[in-house]
Amino acid sequence: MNPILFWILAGISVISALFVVGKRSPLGSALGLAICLSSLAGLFAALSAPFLFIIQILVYAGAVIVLIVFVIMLLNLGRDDLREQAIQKGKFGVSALLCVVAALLVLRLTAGASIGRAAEIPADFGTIERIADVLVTRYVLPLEIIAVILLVGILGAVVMAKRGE
Amino acid sequence: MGEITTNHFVILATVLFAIGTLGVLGRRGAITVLMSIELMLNAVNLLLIAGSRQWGNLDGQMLAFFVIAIAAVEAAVGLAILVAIFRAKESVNLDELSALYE
Amino acid sequence: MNVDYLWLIPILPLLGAVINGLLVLMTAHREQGPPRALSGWLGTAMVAGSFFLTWRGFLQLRGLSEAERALTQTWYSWIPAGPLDLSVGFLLDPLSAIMLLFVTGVGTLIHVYSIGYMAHDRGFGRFFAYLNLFMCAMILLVLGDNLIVLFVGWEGVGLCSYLLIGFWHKSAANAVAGMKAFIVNRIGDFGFLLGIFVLFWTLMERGHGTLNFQQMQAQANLIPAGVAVLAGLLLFVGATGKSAQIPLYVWLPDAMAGPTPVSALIHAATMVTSGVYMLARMNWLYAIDPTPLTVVAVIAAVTALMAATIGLTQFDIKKVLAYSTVSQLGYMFLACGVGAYGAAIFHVFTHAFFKALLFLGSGSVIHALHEEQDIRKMGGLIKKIPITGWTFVAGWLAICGIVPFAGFFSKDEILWKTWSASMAAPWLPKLLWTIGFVTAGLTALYMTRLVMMTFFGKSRVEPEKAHHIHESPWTMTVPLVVLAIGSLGVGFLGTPEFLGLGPNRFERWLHPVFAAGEAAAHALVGPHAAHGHVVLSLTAASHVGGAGHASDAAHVDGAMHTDGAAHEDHVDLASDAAHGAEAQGELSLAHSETADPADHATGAAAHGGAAHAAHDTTMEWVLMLASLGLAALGIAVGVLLYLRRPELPQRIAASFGGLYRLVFDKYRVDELYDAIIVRPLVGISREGLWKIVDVKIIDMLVNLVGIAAKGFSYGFRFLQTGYVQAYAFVILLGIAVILFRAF
Repeated sequence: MNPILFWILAGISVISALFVVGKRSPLGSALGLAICLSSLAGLFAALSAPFLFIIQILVYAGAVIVLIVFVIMLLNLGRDDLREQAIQKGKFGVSALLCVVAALLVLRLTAGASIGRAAEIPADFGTIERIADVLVTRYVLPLEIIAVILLVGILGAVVMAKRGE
Repeated sequence: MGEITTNHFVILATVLFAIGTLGVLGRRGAITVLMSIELMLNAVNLLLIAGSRQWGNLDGQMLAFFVIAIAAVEAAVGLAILVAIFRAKESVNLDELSALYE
Repeated sequence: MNVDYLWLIPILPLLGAVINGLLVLMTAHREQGPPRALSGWLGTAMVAGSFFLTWRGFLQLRGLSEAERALTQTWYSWIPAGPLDLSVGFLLDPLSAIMLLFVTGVGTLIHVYSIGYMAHDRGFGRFFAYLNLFMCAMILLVLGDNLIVLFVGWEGVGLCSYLLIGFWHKSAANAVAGMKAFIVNRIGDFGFLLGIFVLFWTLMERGHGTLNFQQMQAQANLIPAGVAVLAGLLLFVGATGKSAQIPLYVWLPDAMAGPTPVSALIHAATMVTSGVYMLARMNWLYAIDPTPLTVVAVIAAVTALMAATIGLTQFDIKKVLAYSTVSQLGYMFLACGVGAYGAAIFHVFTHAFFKALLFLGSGSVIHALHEEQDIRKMGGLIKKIPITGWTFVAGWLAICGIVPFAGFFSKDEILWKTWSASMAAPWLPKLLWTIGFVTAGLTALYMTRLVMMTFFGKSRVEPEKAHHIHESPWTMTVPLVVLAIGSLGVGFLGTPEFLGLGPNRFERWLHPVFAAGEAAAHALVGPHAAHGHVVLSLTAASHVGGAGHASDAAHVDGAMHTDGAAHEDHVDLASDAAHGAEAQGELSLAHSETADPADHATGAAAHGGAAHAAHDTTMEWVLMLASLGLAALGIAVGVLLYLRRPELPQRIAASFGGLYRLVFDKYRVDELYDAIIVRPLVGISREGLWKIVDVKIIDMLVNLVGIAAKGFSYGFRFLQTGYVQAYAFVILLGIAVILFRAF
């Protein structure tokens, strides 16, 4: 794929991810998340996954973000202070360290491994038709289960959020 | 700029995952933590799809599809819980929500 | 031979103890406890049962030939642990039969007595439970076929002694007396245990490790002299504790705090003689090297003398009898020390009768006078409580050694054996005899003093008590009478040869058990082998069936003396037998009765004294008459001082001043022990061991555990904060570890 496209999209996603984590206001984080998810969608598309590209935008950047923003609005959440308590700082520091170390570790470990050339893929690699083919044959069970989970989730959410009587 | 290989995507995914972890551990607000979790999940998705592309196998994309579905459910339920807690405690500050301790 | 009823003998009293104990527990809510008749007679019946079983065993023994005179029963295997294969077994041989007969017999009488004596006591049921338990332990001690069963019984009687001395435990003094007895005994037991260990270890290394009496004796030749001396001395330490000799006698006078039947049974007739029994049982060990016996004899003689002097000054009727017991025990050990085990056991036997009688009589007096024990407040009781009084007189005459009472024969036998013993230093036997002789005189004196001040003369009883003086109930007087008859009659079981009344049946009966010991330990055999032991070694080799088969060449035995003094043989194999080892299994005298003295003179000469000619009966007569005379003298002086001229004793005591006070204070031995041993120990325990070791060190260690736990948990506390992000952190940490490990 086009390197420039990659780097732009990658850059946007990382920066917006940092927004998510770093912004004090939850709305700001939500915004950052939305942008990140969108840029990731773009990366999906570049990886020959058109179906997922659509889905990401529809479900994630669409529904989930909206839901989150909705809840933020509902609860009228204010600013979320990162720096107030010492524990916070220490914790942050430690976890930052941990993450950096973990990341470096993984990178170090995978750097040497040669991943080889990408496979040859047909032109309709990630299209709906192909996905559908696999979905209702090999993955029919997970599909059904997901459906049930969705149902349960809906019910659970409804019950949970109902005002007690 | 050289060629973009799958390695690049792996590195990107790792970085995003790390940032997400940072958010989970370091933030006080429950909402923000939830969002960071979504971030982590997306990083994984990226990895899965990149792998799928690398080996020409649709399984990776399938899995990513399911992850998205589950993540949606999880976000919904999690937010519902959050709403319920907020109603009880008037706060979503994780430092104060240590009821498990008692 | 093997029989199967021996186990019942100790078990019956045990059963009685358990049932009585249960009765006490079940009726704990009632003031009175269990019904007296049930408790008391049940306990008595159990002991009587043991007595009858023993009697049956005794009769059975008599039917057996001398070589095989032993009934055994191995009850069950207790500790099979490698080289130590311990089983609980019983051995009824001539020695244990005799011991058991009087233990259970006198025991039964004392049980009957207790029914009367303890009738008004609230702890009646408990008393009989303890008493029965004691009988069980004592029987185990005597009947056991190995040192460990003996030791179990040994400890058991020590325990019961403690329980019974401190029976009226509400009074602190009684409890303390009980503790003193137990602790002092324990010291002795330590020595005892060490002795057992030494023996076992030696046998295990050189032969077959066992503690069974018959098996040990069979391996006696494997025990080197040094070991035998060490073990012998250690065992004797145990005996000094249990049988109240110097230095561990101090508990016995204090033990009088217990009820009188306890004093009679435990501290006169049975428990205190177990030390003598143990020594007699192990006579073959002392035969290997008789050095310890010299120690035994000296200590015994000194103890006897010392106790007699103290007894002369005491005013508590029971204390006088207690010191008398210590003194008489000294005689028994003296006999062992010169190798005259038969004489020792004979004295144990007669002493059981007359000492129990004296104690029970004193109990009757105390009962009549409503708990008065001070003889200065008695007097003239003989008319008021005649049965008690005249039976007491019987006991008095017996202990003084007046013919024909029992004490005369047994004490005299001991004195004769002491005089004629041959020890390393030739003057030693004579010295020991002198001490014994003087002590006999003192015995007569203090006993007469006791009798005169208690029963005769003017009454010094307090007026309030004088009105209530009454004779005791039949449960108390009948045993007194029986014991009095015994004190009169049993002496004739062991009359010495030279009197021409026939052989010394008692010693002959015991001969097979003591053959090794008596042969070796310097006991010189005069021509009147009647007086005992013709040196024949031979445990196994006794071929003389009953009496008088003098023709049996292989074995010269006391049996020969049916003709009385005519047969003069001093078959003195003392030399060989001295190392009992060779003697065992070897043949004794190849020659029979007409052995030429000269032949064996060489052998005998090694123990210096062989060439005795025929007329030593004179010496015996002389000694016998001398002791009789001294006893009479003692009695006369006693009558003079305490009946005719009662004001004299005080003047005499005053003139001795400091010396008198010293003796009165029991030579201040208790104070000495207190200063040298008790106080330092208590001090070290309190200051050192308690304050430093226990409080600082051990408590610190224990607290350390707590502190460590606290510290440990502090570190883990953050895991349980209820703080979600902390949990997430830990999860991540785990993943990192896994990742790290996976790659």
